[in-house]
Amino acid sequence: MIMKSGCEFEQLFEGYFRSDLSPAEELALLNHLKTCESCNVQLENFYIVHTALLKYQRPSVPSELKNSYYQQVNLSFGQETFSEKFNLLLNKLFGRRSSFARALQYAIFIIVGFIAGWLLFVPSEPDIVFQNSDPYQISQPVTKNDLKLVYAYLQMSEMILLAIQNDTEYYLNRELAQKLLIKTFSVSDIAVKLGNLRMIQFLNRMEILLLEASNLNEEELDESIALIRKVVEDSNLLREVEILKSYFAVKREQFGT
Amino acid sequence: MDPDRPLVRLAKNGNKAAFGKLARRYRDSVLTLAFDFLKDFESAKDVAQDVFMNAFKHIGDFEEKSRFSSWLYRITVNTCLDARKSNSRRRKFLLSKKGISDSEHKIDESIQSNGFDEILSKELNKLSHQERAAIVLRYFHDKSVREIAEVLDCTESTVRSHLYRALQKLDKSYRRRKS
Repeated sequence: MIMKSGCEFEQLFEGYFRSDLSPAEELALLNHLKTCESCNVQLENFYIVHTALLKYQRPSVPSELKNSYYQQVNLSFGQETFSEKFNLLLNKLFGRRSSFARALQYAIFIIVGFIAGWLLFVPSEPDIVFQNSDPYQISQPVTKNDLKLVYAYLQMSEMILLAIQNDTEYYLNRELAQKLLIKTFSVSDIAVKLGNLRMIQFLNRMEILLLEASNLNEEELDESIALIRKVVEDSNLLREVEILKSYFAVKREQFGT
Repeated sequence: MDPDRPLVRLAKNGNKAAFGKLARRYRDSVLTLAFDFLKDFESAKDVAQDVFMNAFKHIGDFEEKSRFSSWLYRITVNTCLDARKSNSRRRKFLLSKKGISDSEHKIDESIQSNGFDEILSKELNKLSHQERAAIVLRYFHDKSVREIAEVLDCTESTVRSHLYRALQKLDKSYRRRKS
């Protein structure tokens, strides 16, 4: 038998070429190679065969045969899912990759995913139009959106105030008053940020009016409406809203909102 | 852990789609492994299809002691062995009846060989089935000794032994041809 002609250490050669031996086996082999002439010769011979096997080029599968084979497999066990098709496409594009190439590919995917996530979910920086630098003020910036919100609020207020003054039948109801009251709070914050005292004063009066309107009930309707109308007339709210509207219209034009 | 295990479990419960995924995952490896044994793409394709049909039929018998891929490769290696035996019988019959030239000539022509590749493709055919399986799985399919042991259902030292004998035979043939 062939085995008898060889030294028992020859069985370790293949593992040695691939660095696949345990440390003890490797040490034993290396010690043996120091003294065994025939093993040294055989190691060289085996290495030639080992290298040739690693380099051996097999013919590639003809594409027609491959396609018909794939079709047969699909016919027997069902079609490919989308994720499988995607993986196949990746394999086609990148082929069999080294671990470095795979790591690089995953790194690219992560970076692309991160950028896509950033673009989709992170809101863009607001366009700041005013930054209050007074240390005693609330120093948050005012954005274009803030200006839009203030202007919309003033328009709505003007409509309601006109309706109250002209005694239109459907001029005010509780729901509308409550909605506008909630907006008053957020507009107040913007007014404070702007440090606009006239606006703050106007909003305070609107708040009282809207609070009253929010609590309207059927039994005391006439009485309450009379009171509200009186507040509107006495506090010159209509004139105020006109002045503020024109002021914010100019600001909006200035900042292109 | 075997990454195929969830799909294997589903396939064991008769889920054909799950087995389809497994089949598509290994269809290329099985086809090339079959070609490595049979040296003929048509036969390899037939064998590969049979392998998947048999695997699906008998997946209930798979005890999950080894990886699914090892089990599938074992079926492939065994099916190839059967195919080679029946091919060999058929070839002998045809030769005796009609004097048709050995189809292995065709095989050798189809392989784009240069020097040692040519010797290898011929000498690999002369190895025993186990030695050839060990070499093919180790060198052409990058399998570890442990995985080959699972496929061939033997110990790791037996696999090393097969590899050693195969290398020794290939080396001898190479030196003989060279001289």
